Amino acid sequence: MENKKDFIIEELKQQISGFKAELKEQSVGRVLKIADGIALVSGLREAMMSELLLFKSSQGEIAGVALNLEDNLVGAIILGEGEHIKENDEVVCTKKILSIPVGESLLGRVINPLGEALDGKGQPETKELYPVEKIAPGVITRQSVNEPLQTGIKAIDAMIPIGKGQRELIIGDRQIGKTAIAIDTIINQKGKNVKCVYVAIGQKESKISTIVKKLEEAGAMEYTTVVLAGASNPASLLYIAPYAGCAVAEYFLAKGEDVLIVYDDLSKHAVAYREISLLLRRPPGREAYPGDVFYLHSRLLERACKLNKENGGGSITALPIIETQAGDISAYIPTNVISITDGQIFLEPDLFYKGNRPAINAGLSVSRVGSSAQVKAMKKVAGKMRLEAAQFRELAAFAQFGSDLDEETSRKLERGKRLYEVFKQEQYQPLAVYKQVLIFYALINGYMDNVPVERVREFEEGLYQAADTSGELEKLFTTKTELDEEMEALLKNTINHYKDTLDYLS
Amino acid sequence: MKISVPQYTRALRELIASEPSQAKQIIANFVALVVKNNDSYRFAEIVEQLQADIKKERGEVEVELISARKLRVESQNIISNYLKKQMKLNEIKVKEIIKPEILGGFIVRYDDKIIDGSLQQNLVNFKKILSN
Repeated sequence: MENKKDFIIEELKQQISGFKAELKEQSVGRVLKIADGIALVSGLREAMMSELLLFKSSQGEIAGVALNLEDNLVGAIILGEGEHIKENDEVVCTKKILSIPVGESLLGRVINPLGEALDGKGQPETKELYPVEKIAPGVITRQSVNEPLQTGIKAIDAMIPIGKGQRELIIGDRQIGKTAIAIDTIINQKGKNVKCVYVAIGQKESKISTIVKKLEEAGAMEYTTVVLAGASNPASLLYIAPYAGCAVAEYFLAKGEDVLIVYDDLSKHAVAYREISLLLRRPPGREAYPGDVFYLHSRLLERACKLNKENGGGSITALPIIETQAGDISAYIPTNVISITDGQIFLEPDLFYKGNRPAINAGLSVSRVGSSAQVKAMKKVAGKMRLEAAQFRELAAFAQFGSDLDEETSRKLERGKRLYEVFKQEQYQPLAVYKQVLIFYALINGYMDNVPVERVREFEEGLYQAADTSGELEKLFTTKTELDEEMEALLKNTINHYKDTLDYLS
Repeated sequence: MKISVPQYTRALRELIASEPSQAKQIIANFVALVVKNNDSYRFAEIVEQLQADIKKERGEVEVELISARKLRVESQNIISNYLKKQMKLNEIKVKEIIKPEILGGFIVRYDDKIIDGSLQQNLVNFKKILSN
């Protein structure tokens, strides 16, 4: 106790002696107009673009950001509650770009885009500030994607593999499992030394509380930070939320770590930016979005990267989410984000309602860079899977018209049915990569052809249990990831042994 | 190209200074030019700017000096000399305001600048450091 007291006194002494009363000249302006979270400020001739401004209201200082610099006017967004700001209040420049506090202590916490705690656990202790807006790393510091980021979702890891440093869009209608894919991916990073940031933009706070609870249950909050700008927050906070989340991720990147960041979702972000832009009287363009809405997202997603060894070797993998209206991926924002990202996972309502969950459309989903980062064994077993899945859907549609099918077609149909059955996966149950290799190996090598379609999932569960009990496969996978003779023999052995115990095979 | 208000006023004043006898004609031409440029809506701003310029030239620029108690003459001189140097003026008018709520120190306001050396602001800054 005595020691602790001494420590506090010492620290106080240090703070008091370190305090310097300095005189600085500050630019001041006055609020001319304030409405809808936007303020027009006179004066402030020295204000910089996206500089932090302080509004001196009767309730203390409120932060704002300069967005429009005009002749004698500055248009600023107010971060936080603007109702205390009145006309003619003083506004001072800070000569600082908007930054947020970052650090290890943010892991396991829910914060707002300004870095303030929202989970009632007190303000996190941080030592560093990172700018919210930052130019993305350049070509010299980068390296191509070469390490896989396992999502734990069979359909994705097999057909649309994601690499560390990649930007993979998750796109689909509302209520179709977009967030579920992102959350499963976060849960699957447990023990893989990947930090996660989940940025919720304009989401219902009830949804976020459920997500945080799920992540806590899965033990995933230990390495995750949630940046929340809820549906009730002003558009200004929604607008800076993804950039703030990225600043949190960049802190870990600078330490050479791998980070996964989820932006849920960028459609609401674009809408928030549209609101701000229209209130700032910037000219509207297509769908009333301002002209720079492409840059809004491209500069954000460009900050996802894989750095080379000389620059720490860290990575930021981004999973932006876009919500479409009635499956229309040719709308303005979806096409923009599709063209920015390195691939997309397209979720389809038809598949979802047929019970294929996750409802991934194999034809429209692609990963432009991930295949070079795929685990070798997986690459070998999953190589033809995308083609087969797409062919099956075509054949299935065709086969509805006639009953007489040749042997080859009916074999493909049967295989396809089992493939789609294997792709089905429950929420919050990501699957280890060796189990994925095992089931896909069994499928493409015909070991599952005599398993009735309705019992495929039962077969799958049993097979995993059999692999778990022996534990050999997991052990072998920790030493190598190539599908060589030794591994193939072990896979065959595991499957055959398990099949011997079954009585329902036809 | 859009012409800014200070550019208009500077041009006008320099012209009049070079040919004071032609002042009336120059002003008439100036008004015609502003109207021709579709800038007539900015007349109010131009007049305001002209008044400010003239004030500056005549050393009538007002500076607010806020303090908790009346400052000693020496302190006042130090502050006004500093401001003269900053604003590159020979003469300024110092308007003293007594505001006990700033507790101590002083606040200076000029142009669109503020120098806040009040005890109140320093205490606020100190509180911020301690709470961090």
